[in-house]
Amino acid sequence: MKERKESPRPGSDTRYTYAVGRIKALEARLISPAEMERLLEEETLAGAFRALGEFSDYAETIAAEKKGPEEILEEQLARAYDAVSEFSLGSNAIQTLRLKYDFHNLKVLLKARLLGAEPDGFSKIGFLSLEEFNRLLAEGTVGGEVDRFAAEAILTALSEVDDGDSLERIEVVLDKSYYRLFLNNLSVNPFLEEYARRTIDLINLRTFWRVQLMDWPEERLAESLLHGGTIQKAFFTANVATPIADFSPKLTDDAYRRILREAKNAYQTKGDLSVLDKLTDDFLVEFLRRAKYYCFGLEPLVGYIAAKENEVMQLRVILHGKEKALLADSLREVLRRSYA
Amino acid sequence: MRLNVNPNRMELLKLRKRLALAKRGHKLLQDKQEQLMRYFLRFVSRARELRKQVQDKVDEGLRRFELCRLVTPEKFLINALSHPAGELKLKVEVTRLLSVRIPRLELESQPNPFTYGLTHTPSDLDLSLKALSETVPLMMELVNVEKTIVILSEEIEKTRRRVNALKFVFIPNMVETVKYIKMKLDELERSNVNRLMRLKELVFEA
Repeated sequence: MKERKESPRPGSDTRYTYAVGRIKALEARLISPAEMERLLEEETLAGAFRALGEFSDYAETIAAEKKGPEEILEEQLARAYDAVSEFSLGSNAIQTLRLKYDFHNLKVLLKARLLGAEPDGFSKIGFLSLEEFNRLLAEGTVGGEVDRFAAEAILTALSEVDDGDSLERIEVVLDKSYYRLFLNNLSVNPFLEEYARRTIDLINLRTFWRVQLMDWPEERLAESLLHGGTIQKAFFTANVATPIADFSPKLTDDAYRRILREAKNAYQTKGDLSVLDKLTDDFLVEFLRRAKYYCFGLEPLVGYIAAKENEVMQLRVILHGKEKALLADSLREVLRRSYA
Repeated sequence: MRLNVNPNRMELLKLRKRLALAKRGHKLLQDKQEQLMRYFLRFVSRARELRKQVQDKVDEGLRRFELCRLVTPEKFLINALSHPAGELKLKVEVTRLLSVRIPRLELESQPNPFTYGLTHTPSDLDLSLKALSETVPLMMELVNVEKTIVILSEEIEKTRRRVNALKFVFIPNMVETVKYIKMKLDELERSNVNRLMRLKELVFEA
């Protein structure tokens, strides 16, 4: 699909007026924090399913046939992407968000091919089906019903992977390729560009800490860092030996400093890094919440997709937590901030 | 129970030699049993210690993994974890402990689970896999120690049966037999003396 030229000013693109109207209606159907709390209070997985079935969006999927939590959530997310794609006027920014799953599928197939194993973990949310993917990988061309935007992005990424690349290298190359595309396609206006850059920053911050904590070689950090964030890659590599406590004051952004400080405190008391992931996710949700107040433009569409991803993640926490009979309080600690 | 032997001096000498040997054997076996017992108790306490370490590491790894499982789509986790690099290689050796053959598994190499990208995987996954990877050498050690315990317990049982057989059956039987032969020989000696004395009396009367 041909990309239309986007307006540079946030919240001013009138081409998406109809789409924003539809999005507002969809946003109203997102599960609210109070409803999440109700799901959390359910004793069992069956109870949580029953309560979830009362929400219109999920009722149909749950009632249709007996499915596991993962299948239901995957189907819901695919529906949300379909709905937004329908009225996003073929925006590359929206398509790029969905492309994350095609890149995941590409990793699955390349790894399986490298090891001569059956592909395991193929997601149905992406643009291309398994058959289309296999055809694309075998013939190396785009043809038939294959989505051209996705196929071209995948072929570009594929050209960056060498035959002798290791599993780890494949992951790194494809992640870099995806986030380059992510930044390019979201840079249609300053708001979305900032969102993309901050997403990359937060991924890099997490990578930095993980490499340091695991005592991995410096090369792994240099290789894994993504381009395009507001913090330069060189800043991370120059501070590879700096303890996180001394590293965070060096950051110029207050929000990042706060995230690292809180995550460090949590790591020192509880010994796990899940707080870092939660804080970074919360930060991005909070950032995108501003998009709710834009009456025109692409921002509410991106915001809705992020909100749906967030909702699905919250439901995954609750449903898996109920399946494993985890306490509601321990699930609350993991739950992300709600967009709704 | 007395042994079924001819009560003569030759048998007595033979039996005395065997009795001395049996007593020495009994002493040696008793020493072996004590030593085995000492090793057994040492290995039991080591196994208990190792089991606790393994349990703690597995608990930690699984707790962290559950956290990752909660927030990550299943398919992303499958992709991250389904293809570790390298393989687990083991070497089997046989060692000897108090002449008991004990097999021992040595870990030559283990797969590297950290082949996933860091972008779409939760941060706790590293710590979870680290904890679970660290359990592998501990589990190998635990397997070795527990196998040693099983083999030692069988050996202790066998040695105990031998010690008991020597102590309560073999040695008492031989002691009884030696005593019996000795009594028999003494009796023969006495009847000889009597016979000689009687002959002497008859000679003097004549």
